[in-house]
Amino acid sequence: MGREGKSERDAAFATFVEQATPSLMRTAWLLTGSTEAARELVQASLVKTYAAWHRVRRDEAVAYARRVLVNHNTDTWRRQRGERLVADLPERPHRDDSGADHRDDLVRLLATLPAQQRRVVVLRYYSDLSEQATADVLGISVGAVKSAASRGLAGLRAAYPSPSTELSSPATEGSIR
Amino acid sequence: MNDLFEDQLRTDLHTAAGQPAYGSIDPAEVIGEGRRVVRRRHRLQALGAAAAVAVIGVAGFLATDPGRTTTAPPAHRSTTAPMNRALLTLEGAGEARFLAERPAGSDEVRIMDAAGTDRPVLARLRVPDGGRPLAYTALTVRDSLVGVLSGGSQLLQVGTDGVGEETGYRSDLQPLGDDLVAFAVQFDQVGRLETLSRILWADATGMVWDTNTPLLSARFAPAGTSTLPQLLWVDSANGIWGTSDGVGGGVTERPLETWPQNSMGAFEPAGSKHPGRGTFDITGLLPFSEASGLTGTWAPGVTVVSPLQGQPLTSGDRINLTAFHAVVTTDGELPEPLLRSITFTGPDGKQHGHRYPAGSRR
Repeated sequence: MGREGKSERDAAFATFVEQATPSLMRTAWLLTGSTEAARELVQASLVKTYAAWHRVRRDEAVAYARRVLVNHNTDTWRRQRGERLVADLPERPHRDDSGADHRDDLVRLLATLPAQQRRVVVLRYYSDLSEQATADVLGISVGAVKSAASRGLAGLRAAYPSPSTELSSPATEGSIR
Repeated sequence: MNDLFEDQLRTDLHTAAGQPAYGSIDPAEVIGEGRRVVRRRHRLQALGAAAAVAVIGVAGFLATDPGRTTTAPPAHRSTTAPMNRALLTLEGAGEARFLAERPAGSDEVRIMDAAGTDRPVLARLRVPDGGRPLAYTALTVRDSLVGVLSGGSQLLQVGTDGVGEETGYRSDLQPLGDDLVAFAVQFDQVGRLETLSRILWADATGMVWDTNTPLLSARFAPAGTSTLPQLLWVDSANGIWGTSDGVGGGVTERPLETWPQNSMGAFEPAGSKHPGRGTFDITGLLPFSEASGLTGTWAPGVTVVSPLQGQPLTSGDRINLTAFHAVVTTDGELPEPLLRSITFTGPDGKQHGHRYPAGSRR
């Protein structure tokens, strides 16, 4: 019976991995700026989620994994204080298209923000979490979220390209025209 | 208040995040790793449970032996052997102070509360084989991990599997006679010890251990302004590697076969002899055993203080790696990677090379 329960639990978790991975991967990429680092971060976060799977409510599993992901990233930064890790990215064909340029520009801009500001910006403006939810995920106060968001936005705003050299999507470009 | 910029940022973040080809995650691989984590946690929890039994046993002993309660400090106990003592202080909020005491040659270390004058015994540790060759012995005392290591050892890192919480901890390590060191660790958050997942320490020879398991490790002599040897270790069971100089360090959860590279260092502050100059230990792994003749090309502005050198890390047929190390200086911040490419002679006698792509994360 125990074995069957374990098997069912693993099957449910495997389904969860397949469903949650794309969303987690996008968040991780915005946080790390590297597809390889994002993949490793997501994998590590899913492993931790598996270890806690028996106490994770299924309807909150994605939020739980995202919380693990963001804080795993935090832990990594904290542990490696003063240390710089060099990601070894797999060779990929260079995509010489404007989408790749925009993508890289935005990630480069995000990378200029201090880590906490970047996390807050990603959670607030990509994951669309409320200030309270962002505070809960990061384990900080709502005031700290507001402050980090404000400073993060100011930093991005100052460096953001003008509309004529926009980062925007084609749809937004169309509306600008 | 939402403004146009915030709306544009939202749109751009979603557009940008949707574009890369991320690759997939294999659920079976995640579940396999997860099972290892659970097994490891259970093993450490079992050790903690055993420690709790030891503490309870001591408490019971205290309760039934009036002569050993608060009126008779153990330090006054008559003994012919000289007593070795180490005072361990965990500063900060909720400061904890422990006194480790061991009669010379004894296989027992008593852990006492050093905060008051009574010094009740909190726990007793058995030191196998008189500490030689010692691995690691520790137990949980008042939400702290207190234990001993062989003489000359240093504590490198204490890791947890905790989720969404601070991982900060305070530690102290002091000599306990000639052949042992005593240590205490307390996490910033109560209860965090339950998620203990790794205790990395290095013995006097530079060999790195995780609790009682020796890890493959390389020790590189200090160079440049550094006075501390650089230790590189590989935990193949958990697919991680890391570096430490005994003061700082980090763990890299990165596939061991993917040419990982790491730089660790600091910039000299204003008012120093060379303000702004950075000195970095460059470490990494090559997916070849017995790589020799290592040469590197470096980012413009890098000055090599100690050239690349390698040490083999091999374990039977399972692990065949070469650890490498160099020390460089920079005048100010430079874009990563500092080591741009590396060439070496492989075990097949052929020349191999690897170019490290631009990009870094901290």
